[in-house]
Amino acid sequence: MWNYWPEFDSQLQSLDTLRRRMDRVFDEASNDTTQEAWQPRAIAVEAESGYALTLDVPGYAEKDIHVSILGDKLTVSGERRHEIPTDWTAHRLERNNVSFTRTFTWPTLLDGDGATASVQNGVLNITLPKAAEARPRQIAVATH
Amino acid sequence: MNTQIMAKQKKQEVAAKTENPLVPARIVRSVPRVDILENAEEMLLIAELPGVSADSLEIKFANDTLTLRGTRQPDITGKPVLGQLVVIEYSRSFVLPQGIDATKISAKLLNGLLEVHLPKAASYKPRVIAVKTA
Repeated sequence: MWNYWPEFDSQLQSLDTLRRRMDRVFDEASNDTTQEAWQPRAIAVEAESGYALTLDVPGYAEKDIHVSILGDKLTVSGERRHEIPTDWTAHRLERNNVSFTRTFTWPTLLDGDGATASVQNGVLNITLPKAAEARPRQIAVATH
Repeated sequence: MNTQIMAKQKKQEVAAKTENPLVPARIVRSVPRVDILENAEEMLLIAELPGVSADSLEIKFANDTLTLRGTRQPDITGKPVLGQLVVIEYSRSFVLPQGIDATKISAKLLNGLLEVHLPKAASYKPRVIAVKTA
């Protein structure tokens, strides 16, 4: 694929090699902190009856993700395959994380049975109802 | 075409802002992570674009440069207790080697991953030459 102007291409190639080396320097410099710490981006909102949480999990299918609830804690973990088929060459592999675990602690106890989770477009949506005793209660005022 | 898309993005931004007038959606720029693979037939680019719908996605190929752009609205509404509700603008460009057949580029969005298939032009594919014996 590179045989049209051998000299021009070899110039380009050496530039490319240089760029790759520089990338590697930066990658290695940042790897120690980022590699281990990759966590899916999460956003949560609160309503009276419960919480809604979204996590970015691109490339993870529903079967790759596990959600568990205990008391006021929600743990989400995921594991996916990341294999390159044998006849492919990899030029860039930034999506190198293959698993994550993230635990969220909420201000109130959760109703584990009422929780739902689904994955759409690489986003995990979890709804977490608050436990009955944590929900606001309307008290009727009696008159005499 | 570009102005159309920009107008559409503008509209989405305004829509995002008017949903909750007290909290205008902030726009955050993000560079998606990618894998780039190659085999004898094509180059394959896989980009992480969670929450981006196909119609808010723009893929452009010109002058050997492939540009991806996508806008993502906040997935949930309400009072944030973790993180911020923002509009994310994903964008990234790649300079590809010569010999990509621009007419045959195809793209697929699945599970928040965008796969862009960049087939090589016929003259750049490896060819096996049969040797004839006299």
